Amino acid sequence: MPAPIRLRELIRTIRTARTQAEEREMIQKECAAIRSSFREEDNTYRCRNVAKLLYMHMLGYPAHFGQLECLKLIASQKFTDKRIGYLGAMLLLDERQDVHLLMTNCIKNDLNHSTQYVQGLALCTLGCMGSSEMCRDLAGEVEKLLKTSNSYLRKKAALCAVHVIRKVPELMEMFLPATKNLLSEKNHGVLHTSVVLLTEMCERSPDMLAHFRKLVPQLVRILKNLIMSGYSPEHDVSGISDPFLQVRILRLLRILGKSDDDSSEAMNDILAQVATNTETSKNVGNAILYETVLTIMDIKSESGLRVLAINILGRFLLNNDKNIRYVALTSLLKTVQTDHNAVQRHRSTIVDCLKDLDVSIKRRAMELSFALVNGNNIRGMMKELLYFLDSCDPEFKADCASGVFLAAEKYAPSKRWHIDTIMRVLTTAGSYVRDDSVPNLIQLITNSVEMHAYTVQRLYKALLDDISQQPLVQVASWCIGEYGDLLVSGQCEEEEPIQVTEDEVLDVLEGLLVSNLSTPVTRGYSLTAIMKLSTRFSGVNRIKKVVSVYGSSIDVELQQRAVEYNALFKKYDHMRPALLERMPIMEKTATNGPTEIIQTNGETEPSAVEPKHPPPVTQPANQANDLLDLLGGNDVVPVIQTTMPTKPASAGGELLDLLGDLSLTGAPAPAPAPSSQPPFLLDGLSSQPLFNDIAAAAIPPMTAYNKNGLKIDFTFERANPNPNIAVITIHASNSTEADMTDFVFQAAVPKTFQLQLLSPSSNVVPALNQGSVTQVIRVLNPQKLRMRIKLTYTHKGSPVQDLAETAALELHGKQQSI
Amino acid sequence: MNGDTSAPPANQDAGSRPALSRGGGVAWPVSSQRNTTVVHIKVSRSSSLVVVVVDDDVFLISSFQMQFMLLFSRQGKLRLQKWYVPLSDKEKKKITRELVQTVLARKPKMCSFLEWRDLKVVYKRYASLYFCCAIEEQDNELITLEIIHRYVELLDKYFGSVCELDIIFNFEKAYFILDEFLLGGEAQETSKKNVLKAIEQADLLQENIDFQMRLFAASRSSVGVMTAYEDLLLLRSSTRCM
Repeated sequence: MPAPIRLRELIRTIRTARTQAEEREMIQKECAAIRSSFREEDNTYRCRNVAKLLYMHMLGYPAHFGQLECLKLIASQKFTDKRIGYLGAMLLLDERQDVHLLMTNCIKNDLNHSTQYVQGLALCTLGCMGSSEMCRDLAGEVEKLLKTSNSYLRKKAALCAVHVIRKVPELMEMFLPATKNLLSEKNHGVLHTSVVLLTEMCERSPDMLAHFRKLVPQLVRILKNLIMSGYSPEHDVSGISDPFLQVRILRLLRILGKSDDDSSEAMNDILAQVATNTETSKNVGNAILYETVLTIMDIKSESGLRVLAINILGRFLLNNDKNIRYVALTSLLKTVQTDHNAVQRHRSTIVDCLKDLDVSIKRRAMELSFALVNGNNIRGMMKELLYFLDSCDPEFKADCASGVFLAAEKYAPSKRWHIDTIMRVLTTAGSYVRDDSVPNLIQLITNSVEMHAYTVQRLYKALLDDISQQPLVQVASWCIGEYGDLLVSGQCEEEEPIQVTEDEVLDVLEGLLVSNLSTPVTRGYSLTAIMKLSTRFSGVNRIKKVVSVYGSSIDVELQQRAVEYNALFKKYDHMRPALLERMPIMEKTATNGPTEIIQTNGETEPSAVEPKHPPPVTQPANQANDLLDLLGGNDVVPVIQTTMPTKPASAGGELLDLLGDLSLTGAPAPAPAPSSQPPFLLDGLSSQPLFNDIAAAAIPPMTAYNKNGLKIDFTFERANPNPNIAVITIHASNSTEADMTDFVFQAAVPKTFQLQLLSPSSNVVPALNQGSVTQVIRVLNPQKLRMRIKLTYTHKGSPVQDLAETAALELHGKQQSI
Repeated sequence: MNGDTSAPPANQDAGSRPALSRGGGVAWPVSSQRNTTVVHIKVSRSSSLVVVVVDDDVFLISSFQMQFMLLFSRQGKLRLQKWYVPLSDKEKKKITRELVQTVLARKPKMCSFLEWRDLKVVYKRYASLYFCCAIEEQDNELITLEIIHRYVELLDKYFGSVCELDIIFNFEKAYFILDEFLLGGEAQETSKKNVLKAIEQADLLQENIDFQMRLFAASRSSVGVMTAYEDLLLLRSSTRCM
């Protein structure tokens, strides 16, 4: 067999590949050669082959078949083999594969090898990938090496011990005796790793922490020597003596001094020295200063020292280096809770960082700015933050908007300011605010009675400017509906009143209804507002006309609403003024219930949580509400209340409300006799076969929905042996030329029925009737049933949502035929 | 991936001790004099949280450690990867891909840090190569930059004004240098000289064995002896071993 090509040659060849496919082909060929070489147990070239495999592994190709070969290399006597073997083991193996345990013995032997470089390789591998089993087995060897006089091995053993402790904390005490002389070592490598080891032990165990507190003077001495000693070429980094060691010692001091007066006292002086003597023209110096600041803030340091620390951070903020500014903002954010006033002094610099071009810095500056807002500076800070909100990248808008809301709620100097601020956010970042901001703002507005005229006027003006920000438009519609009379009467104390006529107001609201910028929810708000105005404005005819026009809207929600309002005009005109009265002041919690229900229904659109009337008095109405809310977030709750007075609390009324059957003919559907519900047996039935008898399907299938190419058929069966359960299978098919994806079918029935929707066969309805989605619905206690269904799907990339109502399903009285 | 990073703040409520022990942590007594319990909670795949409960005070601890180091080119090609936390190959690839994309998308004037998942990423570009380290929240970013810089200096000294090609063709050497400088994510040596000395001596050890092998092979053929010596000279200059 010819010798395999050399590693460099392979790399060169692979680099000549012009396409991914070419590269893949080369690698496959080479892999095949390597595999066969492995199979032949070829010892001469194993090392070379594994090295090549490691290169391919880095390119992203599988190399797991080299794992065992790595172990063989490790077991070899040659240093070259061991070096590559251990490298391969670290790259290809980790504690997830059991294979790694096979290494344990080899590592153990190598830890006792006569060559320090072999011992070093073994220590390095153990410290990088040793699993807890391995650590348990080898901790003794590591401990032995930690006590040698050989600094090359000692430093590696110390870090290995750190790894062992991380993996198996209970082995910690084993290393305690070996730590005794670690700090008297002259070698910086050993010193550095020892400090790391001590840090690890102190962090993990309060007992160790107490034990090592006595080391504080020694650590202080080492640090002092570092900063006082002259130039030492070996450890110098741009004029600073061993910054790595300094940082580590400072970190250990921080842990030792935390909530301990004596230790903190002992390190105050040195911290002050480091803070004042460190050269800050280079990054290294700033790294040390940064660590010093963190230590000063964490231990029980003197107040003068803390001020010094904050001032260092203040200087950092003015630094040209972005990295330093970032670090300053991060650490100021950490200290803002404890040293609020000291941080407050740097407010203007922090606010300036909002204008930085770097997103990392901007984000930090924004967080810090919000942390600095208080009752005294709210006006100024909000001005800056609103300006920031105006100009910032979209990724910040949501966080910034909610930050503004929170701060405004906490520290608003006046109601007017609060309302202005929130309106400003809605106008600038309307599409980024959280869903609940609309009801929150509405609630805020209703609660500040004296501001109503001012608010409605401001919102009206905002509407004239821009109707694209949906949350703002919704709030504005709501307010105009409620306080339209104040708007046209032209009474406003806060600012110059504007002159508007009733027709102008209605023009704007009707504009919203027809605008294609409006979402269905916004249209609902706007229609309700128009209706509300019928009792506040003198002319009613125009409103009647609009309402009746939307009685035939293709949007089911809007249509239902319009039809009901129409009925209010015709049949219940005497109750209209009372029903459309101004909303009472709302309790905040009142809006929570429906919001949650909507969320469980998976609604993603801005929820239309219409502020409710005070809780309905009768139980059935409540149930109907919940069902309606469940069915779709767009349902407007007041609709139900309008029907309440006419229908007493009976099951019939409930069904009527649910189905929105306030038909123009005035013939209500026959109310099913309130029946005592049979025990809920669905659970017991789940093991029963669903389609046990096809012949029993005595109910003819029906088409429940057929629109836009989507057809939904229902077939019926009655599950034997329980005639009280009807099994409806839906078949959804799609006659268009594009698939419908993300198809979701939902159904709601009145409370007297129990419905169980099983999971659908798929959520994609294939095009051209090439298949169908089936889903099984089980209905308990079936009678004459009307079902409301909601369909959502994505068609040609755009989401579609539709609601429909099935014809009455004749599910009762069929028992005989089964 | 970091779905469960928002672990409940355990330090607020000392009464939550039983719940913490239930949450998959290993509880063990540190010493018998005081009622001390240490609980390790896996916060995310990459970091664990240590909660120490002494009597009724709860301390929250999180260890500092470098999680991984990546070297990649401006074209997004991975040149070196060192993982100090156990992750599956699939996860490593995913993290690498995401991180490379994020870092490459950043403008040159931006700061060297970015918050990524629950980690902090410190990166710096040297010529055509990006050096990228993931550290934990409490770590010192500025000293991490120095560690990256020190590694670059070591490579530079070793290869003699290092370039990307040196690292591609001698990737194993780049790993050896890294392993001589960092161990388990911590710096083991703060002197450049010592690191380079160790690497050179280890190389020498490898060469000597190599050389003996070659001599042995060469002694069988009459042509070989001279080439073996030439090879050795080449070896010393380019440290070619395979």
